[in-house]
Amino acid sequence: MQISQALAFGGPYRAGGLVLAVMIGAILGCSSEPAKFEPNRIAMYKAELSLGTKLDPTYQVQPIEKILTETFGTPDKPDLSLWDPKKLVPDLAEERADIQTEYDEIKAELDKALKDPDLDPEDRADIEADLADVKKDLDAVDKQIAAVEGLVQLDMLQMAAGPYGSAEDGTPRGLYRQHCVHCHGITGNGAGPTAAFLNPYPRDFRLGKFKWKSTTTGAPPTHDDLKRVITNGVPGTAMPSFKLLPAEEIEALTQYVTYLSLRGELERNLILDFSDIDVAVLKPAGMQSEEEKEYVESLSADELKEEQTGLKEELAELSDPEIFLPDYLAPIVTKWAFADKNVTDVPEKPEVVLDESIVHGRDLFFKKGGCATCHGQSALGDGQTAEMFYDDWTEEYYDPKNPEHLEEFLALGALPPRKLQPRNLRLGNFRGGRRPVDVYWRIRNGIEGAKMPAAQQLTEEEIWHVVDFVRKGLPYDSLSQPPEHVQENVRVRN
Amino acid sequence: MKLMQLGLMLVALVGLSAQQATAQEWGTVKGRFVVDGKAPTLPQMDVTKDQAFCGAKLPDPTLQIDANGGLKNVALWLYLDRGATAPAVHPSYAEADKKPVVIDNKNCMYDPHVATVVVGQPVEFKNSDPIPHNFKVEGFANPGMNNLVPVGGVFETKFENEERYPMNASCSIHPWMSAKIVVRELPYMAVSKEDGSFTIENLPVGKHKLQIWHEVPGTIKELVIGGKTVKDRKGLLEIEVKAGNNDLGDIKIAAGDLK
Repeated sequence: MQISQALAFGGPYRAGGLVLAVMIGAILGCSSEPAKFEPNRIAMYKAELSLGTKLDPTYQVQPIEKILTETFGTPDKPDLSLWDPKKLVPDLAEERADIQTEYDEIKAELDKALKDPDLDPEDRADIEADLADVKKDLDAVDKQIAAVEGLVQLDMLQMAAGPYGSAEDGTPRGLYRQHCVHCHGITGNGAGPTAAFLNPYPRDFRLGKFKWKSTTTGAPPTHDDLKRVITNGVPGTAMPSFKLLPAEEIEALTQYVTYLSLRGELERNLILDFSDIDVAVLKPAGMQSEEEKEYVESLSADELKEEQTGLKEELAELSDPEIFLPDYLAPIVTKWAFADKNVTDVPEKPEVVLDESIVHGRDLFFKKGGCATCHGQSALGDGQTAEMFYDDWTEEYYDPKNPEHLEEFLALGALPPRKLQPRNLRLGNFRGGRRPVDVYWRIRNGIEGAKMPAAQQLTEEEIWHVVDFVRKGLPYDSLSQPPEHVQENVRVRN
Repeated sequence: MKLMQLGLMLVALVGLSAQQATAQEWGTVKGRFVVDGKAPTLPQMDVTKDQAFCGAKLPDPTLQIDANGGLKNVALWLYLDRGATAPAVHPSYAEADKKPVVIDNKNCMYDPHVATVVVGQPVEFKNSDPIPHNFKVEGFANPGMNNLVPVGGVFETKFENEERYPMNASCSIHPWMSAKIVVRELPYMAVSKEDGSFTIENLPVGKHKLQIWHEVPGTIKELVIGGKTVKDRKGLLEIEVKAGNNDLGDIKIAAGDLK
């Protein structure tokens, strides 16, 4: 009986095994194919919508991919061979060469003078002082160039890139794929396999925007800002702390996140510029929109030829590293390399009696600070919140006033839009860190990409009062059972 | 470093234009944007907060057409092809470009709804309302900003880079509010008034391209000027400027394109 049963089931089981074998084969087959950065289809589709026509694969989409691969390499093999400071920061490189020449001249003068047995000690001191001055200038320029060169370094990127494992000498490889890829995705688009199940969604690096930072709105985060987020995680979200990793590995990941951000920003700018070039005359007939077809048909054979030649030249120019490095990559890289310039100075916290500071802070929270408008009378995040607020990453593809193309964007991999909520300040949990300085930065600079504005109307002292009120002056509600609430304006309407 | 270069270039440019002013001839361009056909009437916007001050409904400022079909808030600016040299700037702009552009919050709406700003020109974001507002300004070439402007307050800033298309200003507190800011290197630009009319003063004589834009369709891809239909994906209109006044007359935009 049992035997026959086994036999009866033998057939389908064997078939199942076969399917399994095929599946394993397929998976292995896939994994042996090199990992690829995904094109930013959302930005491309957005460009297509505003143009009313499709981007041309040969003359628009492929050149963008080619430039990106030349400038950044692939997920398995980062490549920075084009990153020459002479091209990225030509002004600095030139300045350095000039100062170096000056330095060499003074040095030669000094060497000559030192050979003179009758050298006046005062003259010697003068020349030496000159030399020291020039050396100082030289060091200052070197420091700036070092900031550009140090932003992303190949050996660090190699530790983070590629499949998980280690090199022959034991240095780790594939840290990004080991720790980050399942949420942030291979391209850093914040759409890894787990992304859809997380709230908030993982960060999409490609806009180059980060929330938890010390710099002013519109400026990229500093290296230390990114490192802090990776080290400490983002409390209250799925982003864990990587404090237990060796310092060098955290450094490698920080640089890799920077690398993906720079790449994403370059891609978006290229999409914008390539889509602005009218390639109708080069498009194959099937790809043209009605309007483009009409236009091309209106041209004589000679005109068509002339336009095609001119256009190909223009496109070739844009794809030339001599053009795209200084025009496109350099502005993004310098912005990041010198992010330190935009760090908000935090004055020392004044010595105050805490209770008094909290009273001031409460007053500012309701009046001059305007905090209660969104965070609510009781700071539960239940103020009169507009129902149409989404963050900048969502607004890349979703315009709540014009939602008609949402389905198409979702089909391209965009995550379903989620409304932005003002933070409930009574949970004792601050995503960007709960040190006084973290809260100070949030209030002073606002939150990049979110709706929280910079409270530029408050003085430094006033901000410290609000910091005290927010950190120490609010009742504490347990994280697991926050009080139920309905937004004020919804409450009033119903 | 870049900025210094730019500054030097500007100084050189101003110097150059001052020199050329005697020889250079200038022409002023006028015209009027008219809607051809019946444009859709936009429903009033729902006010979701601060109703006590703002009221329950506000008119939608995106499409404003007067009784004669004049279309307000069409922006147009001088367009340069990639690598083209910028034309001379008339000396009359030197003073005007130092005056601050004021963008005010009045009765829970931005005034003006479409503003033009020259790179480096001071901009004052003002709040004349008795409630707090904030300005979240997003462009492409300029870093974004998001500042709270308290009752009676002003936030001053400058934009250092030209924007290919207008920047978007919005209020994080009141979601219906929005304004557009045109930021260009050259001062040759205008926004049409209530009756659809516009004036760009003192363009150098010769051939120019104007890029024409409205919030609803983006670039105006098709228009009728002097009875002739002009189609261009980027909304470019080629004109020839002669010395003195150049009236382009009525420029028609089909109502169907404003949906």
